[in-house]
Amino acid sequence: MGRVARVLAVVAVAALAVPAAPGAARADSGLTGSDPAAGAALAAAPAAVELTFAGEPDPADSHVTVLDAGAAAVSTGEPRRVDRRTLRQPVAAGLTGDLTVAWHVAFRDGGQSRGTLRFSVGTGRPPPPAGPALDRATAELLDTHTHRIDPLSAVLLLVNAVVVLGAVTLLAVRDPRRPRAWRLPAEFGGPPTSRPGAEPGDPGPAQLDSRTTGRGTT
Amino acid sequence: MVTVSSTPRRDGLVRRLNGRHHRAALTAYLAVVIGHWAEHLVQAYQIWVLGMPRPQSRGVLGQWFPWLVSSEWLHYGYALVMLVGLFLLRPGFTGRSRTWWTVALALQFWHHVEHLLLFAQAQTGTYLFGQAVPTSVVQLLVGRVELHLFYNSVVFIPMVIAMYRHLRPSDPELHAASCSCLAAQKRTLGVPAAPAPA
Repeated sequence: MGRVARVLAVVAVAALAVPAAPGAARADSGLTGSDPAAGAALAAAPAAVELTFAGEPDPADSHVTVLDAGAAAVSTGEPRRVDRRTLRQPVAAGLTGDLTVAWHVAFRDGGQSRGTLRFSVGTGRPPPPAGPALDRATAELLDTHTHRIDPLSAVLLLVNAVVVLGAVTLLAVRDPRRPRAWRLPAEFGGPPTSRPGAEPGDPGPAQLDSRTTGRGTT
Repeated sequence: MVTVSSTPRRDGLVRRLNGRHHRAALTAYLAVVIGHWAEHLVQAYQIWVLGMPRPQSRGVLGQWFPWLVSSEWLHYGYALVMLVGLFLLRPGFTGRSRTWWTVALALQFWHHVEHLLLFAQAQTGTYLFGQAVPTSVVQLLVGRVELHLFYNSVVFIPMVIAMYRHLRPSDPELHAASCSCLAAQKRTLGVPAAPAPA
């Protein structure tokens, strides 16, 4: 097997193996506290729910939803980081009843956390356990929540690949009037760019008439 | 009696980069660009082929250094390296290849401004446009991952065309060129050496 073939084989094996390999070990980054606390019975509705984690959340890839007793979303806007480990999710004003907070949070160390907690507003008692309907709604919310790459990105990657392959193919097609268009530079182990002692562009002994190249400006 | 020293003047870094080291510099630069692009390809492979959730699809380096993917230092650093490379290596190009390279440089300049905005927001903790995360201008219209993939593509494509044009020049472009990329072509065709780019 030639040197180039060996290099290509190693690159191919690495390309297939590395993306699927497990990453660095991650510490447990789960929920360490919340405001309101789980099971709290509040007299007045909070302006927002704050979730604190052991890890450092990445708001761009994190989602927090607050549901009322009928499983309707009552959170507003996107979660925002208030400090390194706390996300703040605003909720609609004037809420009452039993509320459920469902979260799916991605951390900067690569980990993620998902779960639910409940609190009540104006009922004078802690929230009861969620019923099957609410459980289904939150499970569905967390399960169907996926991150996808959009078709535009797919097209761009494809266009990039076509451009690179096109350029490489065109360069590989040998122009009989000219030497090979590209080879590894001498600095990286390739052949020297010019005769010993000659400057780049210095004509060598094999002088050809430049008018015979036939290459115009188009 | 007046004596005149005839010590040859030593070329500056930019002149050397665009002269006898242009091919090596372009190769190193292209390796960095292809490496970055390959990371995006691996990410797409992880999402579509391996079915990994998007936050876990962090390319190759991100598998072992997850913080890299969300590090504004890395993103800004790469944008800066791209901009500086496009600027420093431009004088070596001639004719149409220089036009394409300049297009890539102009687009990368704006891309870099967008990254500078993101970097400043991440460092100060003050986010623009009332957003919950660092947000650049065009990001108000398009999602961040998609936007920067778009930027990287529209910079990458004219850059590749410029490199191709550089290696397959027309006769006037070959005459005007003075870099190491075209030394062999000039030697074979007997084209006289051009003055090194300023």
